[in-house]
Amino acid sequence: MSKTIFYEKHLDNNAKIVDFAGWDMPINYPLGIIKEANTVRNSSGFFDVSHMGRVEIKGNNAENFINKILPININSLKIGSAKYTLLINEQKEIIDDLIIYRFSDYFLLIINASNTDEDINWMQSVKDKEVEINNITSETGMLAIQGPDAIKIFNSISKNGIEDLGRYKFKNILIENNDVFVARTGYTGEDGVEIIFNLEFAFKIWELLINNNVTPCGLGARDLLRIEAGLHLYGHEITKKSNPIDIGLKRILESESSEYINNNYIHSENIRKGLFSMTGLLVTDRGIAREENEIYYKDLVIGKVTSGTYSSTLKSSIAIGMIKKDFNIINNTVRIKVRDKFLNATITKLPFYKRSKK
Amino acid sequence: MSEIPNNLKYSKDHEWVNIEDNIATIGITLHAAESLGDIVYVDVSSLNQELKQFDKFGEIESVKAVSDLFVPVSGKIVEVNEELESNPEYVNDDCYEKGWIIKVEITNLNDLTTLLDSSEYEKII
Repeated sequence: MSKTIFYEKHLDNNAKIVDFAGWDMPINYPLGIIKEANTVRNSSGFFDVSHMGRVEIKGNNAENFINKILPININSLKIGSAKYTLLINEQKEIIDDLIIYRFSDYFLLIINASNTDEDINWMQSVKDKEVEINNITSETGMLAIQGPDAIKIFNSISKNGIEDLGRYKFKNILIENNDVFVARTGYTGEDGVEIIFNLEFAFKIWELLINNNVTPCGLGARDLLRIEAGLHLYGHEITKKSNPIDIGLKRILESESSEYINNNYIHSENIRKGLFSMTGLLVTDRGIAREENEIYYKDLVIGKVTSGTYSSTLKSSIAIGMIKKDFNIINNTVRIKVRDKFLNATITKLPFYKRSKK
Repeated sequence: MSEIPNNLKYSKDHEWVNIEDNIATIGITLHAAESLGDIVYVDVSSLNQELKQFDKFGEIESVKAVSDLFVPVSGKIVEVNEELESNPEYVNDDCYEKGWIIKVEITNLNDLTTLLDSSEYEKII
């Protein structure tokens, strides 16, 4: 089992540890999933996300290579900016979703822990010798600091280092003489930053966050928050077989370049004829709908739940599901088969939660 | 370390029982509550029903898991803790007091002999 640099900190803080994609990760601390999630919604919390893959794409042909493997419009990705995108192989299989960050002369990809090896193997297989792929995951640590107070607190920790940092922008700053990558991104529906740093600085930054009353939160709260925010999780809403349009990601298929390996696919008639669509389900009965539970309209199975949880923000059970497009009618009532009973649910537009912008 | 009061009896399914006259108050142990994590629903399906020892009497669900509840003694369920409908977190915060789940009118006191005392329960967790 792999361990992040923070493993001992999780134990010191009495975290409940679970196996997540081969990593020993905290699912929650003694505070518990719900209170941790509430803390992120109301003030600020931080997550160890050091298990996520961090891969640099360098070399003379780096830009061409990115243009070849990702469906982004590379001209709209400015230096110091980030974009959410999909990695789709030659078989039209989505092998990952990721965020790409553009530096002046290279790119950084932050990918899912569960897919890191497959992503790198595939990229190695399609690159030329003028492209260099560096996996820096084990040389660095990564934390996500999220919540309405996160920016204010991190700006103070970094001595005004991120005062002018916009959403989906990043920069490198110095904190106590340590180089820290800071991106204004996240996976909770709240404002905040994700930071990457050298291992030597890891315990110091943990301490700085604790001393500033930022609460350590586990992957359980992170999952709850991302479901509330209607965000995809690979292996759940996104699978190899997913049609990007069915899962609501048409907007990110922006490449017009003939260099992109799936240029024909993303502009084909075929991709526009997806049968399913992703939807929110507000469960009105008591009980949590779980992944793989069947969704019924009257007596017809129309789809399956991909993620479900209890929303502490909405005080209701909520789920995300894939259902046949014709049945995706907002406010319609469906039934979800949970073990031996049916729970009523209302079809709801995603996200369940949207932060109020100040 | 989970707290295990020594005045209670325990089932292998991690329910506790407190006997007063012929009424058994029943809940789940701290060990069970901690393993489940944050509890969000406690549903008892069998109020006023006669149940046999170890019959299912309801379900308890946390953010991450769901678990059946089994009655540790035979009898009739005479009361359900209605507070748990809006405050299921009582089971996490105070499982032996505010987090009690049902009260059962005991029909067979011999059932108690098959339950564990605190030191026996401590060994199985």
